Amino acid sequence: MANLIEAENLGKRYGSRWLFRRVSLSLTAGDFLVIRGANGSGKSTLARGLAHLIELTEGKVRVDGDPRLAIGYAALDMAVYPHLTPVEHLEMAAELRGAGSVDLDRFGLESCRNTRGQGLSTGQRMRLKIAMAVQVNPPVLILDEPGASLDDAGRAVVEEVVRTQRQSGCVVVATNDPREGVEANLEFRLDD
Amino acid sequence: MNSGWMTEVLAVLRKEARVDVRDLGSLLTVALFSGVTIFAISVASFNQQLKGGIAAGLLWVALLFAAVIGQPRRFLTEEDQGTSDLLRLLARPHAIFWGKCLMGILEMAVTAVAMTLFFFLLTSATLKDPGLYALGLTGSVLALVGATSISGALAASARNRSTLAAAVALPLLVPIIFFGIASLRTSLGEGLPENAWPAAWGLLGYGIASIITGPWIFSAVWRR
Repeated sequence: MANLIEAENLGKRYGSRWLFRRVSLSLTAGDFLVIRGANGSGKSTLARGLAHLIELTEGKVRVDGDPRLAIGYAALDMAVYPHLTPVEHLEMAAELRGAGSVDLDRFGLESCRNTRGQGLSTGQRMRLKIAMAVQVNPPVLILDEPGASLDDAGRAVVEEVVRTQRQSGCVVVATNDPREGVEANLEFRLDD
Repeated sequence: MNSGWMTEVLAVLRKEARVDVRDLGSLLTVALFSGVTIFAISVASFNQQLKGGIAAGLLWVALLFAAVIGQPRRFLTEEDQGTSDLLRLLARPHAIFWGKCLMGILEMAVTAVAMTLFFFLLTSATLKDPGLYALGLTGSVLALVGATSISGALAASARNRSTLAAAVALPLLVPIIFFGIASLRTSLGEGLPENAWPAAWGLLGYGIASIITGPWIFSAVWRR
C-alpha cells in the first residue's frame, strides 16, 4: 500500500537544544498515529512540521501533491478570523482550494453559522477548523489537541471525523489526553 | 481538485474587504488622516496662492502616509492575530499578495480621488495638466501599494515586524517620492513637462513591476 505521508529523520532545534531528533514515520490509508509527550516535548512542533507549517532543522516530510490539498490540519492554538463567520470561512477555504460545500450540521456549526469568529466559543472555533481541515478530503489529517476545548458532543464529532478519515486516508493526533487516540494503531512518545 | 489563480486572488480580496468593512479602525484612520491633512493645508494656505511644488509635496505626503498606515498592516495583522497559519494552510503566496494588493489599490484609489476633490475645493491650487496629474496619481497609487505591500510582506514573519516593515519601506519609497512629486508638481504648474511625463510613466512602471514581482519575493519568506 502506498505511503500517504513519509517523514525522514525529522529534527527541530531551538538554540543549542534539540526538541526532538531522528523522528521518522510513514503512514498508509487506515493508519491512526497518536503522538504523546509531556508539555514542551515538541508534540505541536512536530505536528506543525508534518503539516509543512514550519521549517524543521533537519529532515524531510513528503506527501503526494500540493500540501494544501494533501494535508488537513487543525490545532487548538490556531486562530480564525475574528470578523468572518463560519460560513464565510468555509466559503473562502472552498474558493482557495477548489473544495465543495460542507454540511455544517456534521460539525455542530449550524446554530452559529452567522456568528463572527470573535463571538464563537473555543470549542466552536475548533469544530470550524476541523471542518476546514477535512473540506478537501485530504489523504492526511493532522489534529493537534483536538479535544482540549470540546464538550462530549464535540468529542463525538472528532471521533466520527477520525473514523471517516481512516476509510480512505490516515490520521495523526497530537495529544496529552488519555481519552484521545485510544483507537490508534500507532503510538509515538516524544519524551522517550 | 484545485481552483484557478484568479478565483484564489478574488477569495483573498473578498476576505480583505469583509475584514476592512467590519473592522473600521484602519479605514477610519486613513480617512481621518487624509481629511485632516487636506484641511490643515487649506487653513495654512488660506488667501495665498499655493505653488505647484509645495502643493505636490503636501499632497504626496498625505498619500504616502495613507499607504503606510493601511497596506503593510494587511500582512502584519495576520501574524499579530494568529491567522497566518490558517492562511498558509489555505492559500498560495501569489493569491495572498495579489488579493491584498488589489484591496490596497481599491482603498488607495478611493483615498486619492477623495483627497484630490477636497484639495482643489479647499485650496487655491490650480490643475494645469489633468492628463499628467491623472497618470502621476495612478502611478503613485500603484507604486505606493506595491512598495508598502512588499515591505509588509517581507517583515510579516519577523519578530520585530513593525520596525522592520518601516526600515524595509524606506529604500523602496525614496525613488517613488522623487518621481511622484516631479509628476504632480508639473501638473500643478511648476516644472518642465519633458521631465514630468517620463517620471509619471516611470512611477507607473515601478508600481506595475513591484506588484507583478511581489509574489516571488513574498513566497521566499511566506513558506508552507
